[in-house]
Amino acid sequence: MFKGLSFRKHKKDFVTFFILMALSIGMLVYTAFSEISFKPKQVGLDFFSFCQRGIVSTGKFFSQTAGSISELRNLKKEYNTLLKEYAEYQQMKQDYEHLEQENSMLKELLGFREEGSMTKIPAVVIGGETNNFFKSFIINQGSSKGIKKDMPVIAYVDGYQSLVGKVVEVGTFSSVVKPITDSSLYVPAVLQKFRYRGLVNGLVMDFVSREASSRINCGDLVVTSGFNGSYPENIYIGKVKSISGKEYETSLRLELEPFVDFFRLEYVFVLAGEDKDEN
Amino acid sequence: MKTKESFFISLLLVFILVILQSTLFYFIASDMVIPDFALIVVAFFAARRGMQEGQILGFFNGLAEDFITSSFPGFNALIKTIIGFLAGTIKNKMLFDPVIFPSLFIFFVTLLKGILAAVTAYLFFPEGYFPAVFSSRFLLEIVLNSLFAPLIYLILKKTHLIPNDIWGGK
Repeated sequence: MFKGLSFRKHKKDFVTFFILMALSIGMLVYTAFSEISFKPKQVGLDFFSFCQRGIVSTGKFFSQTAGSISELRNLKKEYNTLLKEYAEYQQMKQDYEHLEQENSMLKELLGFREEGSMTKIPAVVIGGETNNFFKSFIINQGSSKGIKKDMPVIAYVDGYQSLVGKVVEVGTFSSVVKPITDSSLYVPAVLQKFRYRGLVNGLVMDFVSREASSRINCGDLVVTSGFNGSYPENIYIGKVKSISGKEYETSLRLELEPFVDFFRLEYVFVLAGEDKDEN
Repeated sequence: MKTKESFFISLLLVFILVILQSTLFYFIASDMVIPDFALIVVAFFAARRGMQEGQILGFFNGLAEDFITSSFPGFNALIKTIIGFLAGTIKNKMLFDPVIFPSLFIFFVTLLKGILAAVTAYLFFPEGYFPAVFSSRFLLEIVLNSLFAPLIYLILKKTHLIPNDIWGGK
């Protein structure tokens, strides 16, 4: 294959090759060893996400149009069911308001300060990885909406806040999110019931105290611990799928099943920080 | 078709494929593996048009992927430039049949992509940031790319993006 591939004969090809290699390696070195984000990547991300947005909206339009007839039939059935449920919820709402009033009164009496709630920026998943090496995906919100690097991303699964991952790259109108399934992401976690701490990495919870072995069961819930402040506490990560750990080791290794179905994820929320109550 | 003309059309095709791979194919494939159609186009284009066009096309293909993935910028650009360059070295040296050789060629090109990804990641990525090169997903990608190769080769030939004459011809 390389016979007759002399430098003299293919001088132009080799010069181009070295220039392109130098450019690629330069970019790699800059981003791998520098803390400053790479501006051209953000510009490129914005450009390609603009095209991605167009394709996703077109695809959605066609799939929604095709599904609208059967959807109408289902809607009629759902409407009748919802009417019944509505009456029940009205009653529940009254009870809830009563309880909330009572709760705030009790908190006031005990001198508790109201906890700040996180600002959630809603976003739509508009694309994913082009190769099978990485697992990130792209959302349609960027720095224009206040999104910053390292912000946690969640999704609602059956009404529960579940951790999706964190923002790793921010463009003006789109961002790249790395999911918790990626082995380069570390999430401080805790077992919800027995409060044993650990570190979740690529859906494996490590460094769980061996003492926990008699108490943990498959199906136990794992949530974020809030330790070191990178993720807020009490966000669901997953359920314990299997427990392992060698005799001589001091900690256990728990394999987790995530709450989020990452391949069917459509809507997510970026946690942008706390809206602190002035009182 | 003239080399310049076919280069720009191929570049556009590669960009479209990258966008489709990250949107339409990504949502259709769900948790399945997506073939790297852009890589197949780059490899065939390089093999028929030569090193110069192949490596430039590969560089832009990689750069486009770098922009929309979480990998470090330059990672895919580096891999695809090398692939474009190496694939270009077989210009006018081998004979392609319609099915077996395109499949075999893409099999080795995808394998090379995996090896280059592993080496690049080892050299430049921080610890713990290793691409899933040695995974069943990547093995499946090799198989899928090889299966789709003859079809894409045929399309490229029919659209005259790569020369239609017999392999080894001018």
